[in-house]
Amino acid sequence: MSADDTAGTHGTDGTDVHDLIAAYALDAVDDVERRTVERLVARDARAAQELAELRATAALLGAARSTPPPPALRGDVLGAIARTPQAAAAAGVVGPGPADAGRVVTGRSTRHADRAPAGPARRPGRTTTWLAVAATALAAAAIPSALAVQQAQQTQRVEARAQAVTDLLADPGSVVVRSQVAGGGTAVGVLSDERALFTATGLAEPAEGREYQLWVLRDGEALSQGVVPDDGGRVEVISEDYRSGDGLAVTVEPAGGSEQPTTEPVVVLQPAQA
Amino acid sequence: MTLLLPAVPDAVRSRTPSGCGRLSPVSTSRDGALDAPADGAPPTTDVLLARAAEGDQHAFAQVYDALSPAVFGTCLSVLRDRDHAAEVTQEVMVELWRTAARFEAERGSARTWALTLAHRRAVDRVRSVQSQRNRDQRALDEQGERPFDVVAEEVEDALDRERVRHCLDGLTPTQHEAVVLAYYGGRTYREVADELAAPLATVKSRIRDGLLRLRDCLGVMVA
Repeated sequence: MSADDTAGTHGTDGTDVHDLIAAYALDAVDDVERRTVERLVARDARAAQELAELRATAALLGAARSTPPPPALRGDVLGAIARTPQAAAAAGVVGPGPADAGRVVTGRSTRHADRAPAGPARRPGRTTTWLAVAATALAAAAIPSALAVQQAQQTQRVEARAQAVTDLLADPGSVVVRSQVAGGGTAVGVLSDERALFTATGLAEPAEGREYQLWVLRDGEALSQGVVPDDGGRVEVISEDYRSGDGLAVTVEPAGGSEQPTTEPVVVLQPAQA
Repeated sequence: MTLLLPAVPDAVRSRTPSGCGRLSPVSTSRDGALDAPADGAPPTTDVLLARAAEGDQHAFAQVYDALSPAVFGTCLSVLRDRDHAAEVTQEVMVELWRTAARFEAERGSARTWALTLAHRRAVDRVRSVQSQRNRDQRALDEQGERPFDVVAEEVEDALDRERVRHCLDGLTPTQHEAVVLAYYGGRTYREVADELAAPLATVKSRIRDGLLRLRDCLGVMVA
């Protein structure tokens, strides 16, 4: 089974099937392409190898979104499996279908020796904690101690923030508003009754000695939410001061921030009027 | 369909992380967000799934506890609806139970398998829902009201795994957009191309280059 003579396999429309492996790994192909890729992978070791890696990569994108499921689901699932007969071990006899097709590819091609989840994982919600701890420990090993402390604190903040964002997005009452940012970039706010997430991407770097500052707009007043750390043009801030009906705005202020806005906002996010 | 693979040692291991600020202890758990700490060495999920394959419902309960947050999170990120996500999570977990024996025989990673299945099922559902919605509400959709994409695009920062975030940030903006629309948005690359008014080949390249770059950044390697 040589990889070399098949890696360049072309589909009937001249498409290089190999180039579709990544899209396949993201489930971003149609049914015909799906089967075409599966045929390629079945005979091409190099393609299978690549798919295995990209499948594992895609799975990480999903794992990164780990969220505790509704507690009641556990009982539902365990009740369901108690009534569900299991398939035999012999490969190739378990039913066909899209799900099964996906499974076959993954199961056979993604092989690794990872220790699998257990222990602390038994409690949903522990995932984040554990990862954060692990990440912190590594950071501590990798950088000087003073920085390690900062890193640890940051990791805790990141963890808390991630949970806050998760909560926000899970809130059925939250709304999403979006706007372009003057000077470049896009801002998106997720607004709930009692907090808001402000994110922006592609922001221009503020001039020397300037920083972005976030404000909650309420009744004609601007309440400072502090300067916004700009990570390569990307920001994300949770505002706990936000209340239903408030707006969000960002201005460019002297380093350290201002008590009141001193410039015109580069972006204003307002919830839709009820 | 039979997949023929070379003799693949059971390893998806990390390459030396490139600029990810990670060292090997965590990198070996690249697919094992829930890896147990070394103390006590509780059974791994793969082992538990093998027990489940023999009808051990208690073991499967532990599999559920280990994998359901990632499965549910994957579904939720695509479906943007907790009820739908819960339904698909249940389907996936029952499928995991039903075919556990085969899974064990193939010696893959329970986690990657579960998440692959979860994403596939979630995408199938979102596409069936969207095709109907597209017929009904095409005009509305074209107004740019796409909470799906907006949220998916912006909440990478909400990821509880900074590593993934870091690596997503390492993509070019166009790669980033294409990968996110495809994976979290549940779109085909053709739909992504339509959405971005970009040529098909271009979008395909962005997805491919972006995912390969993510793979390298995340240190995913199948030995």
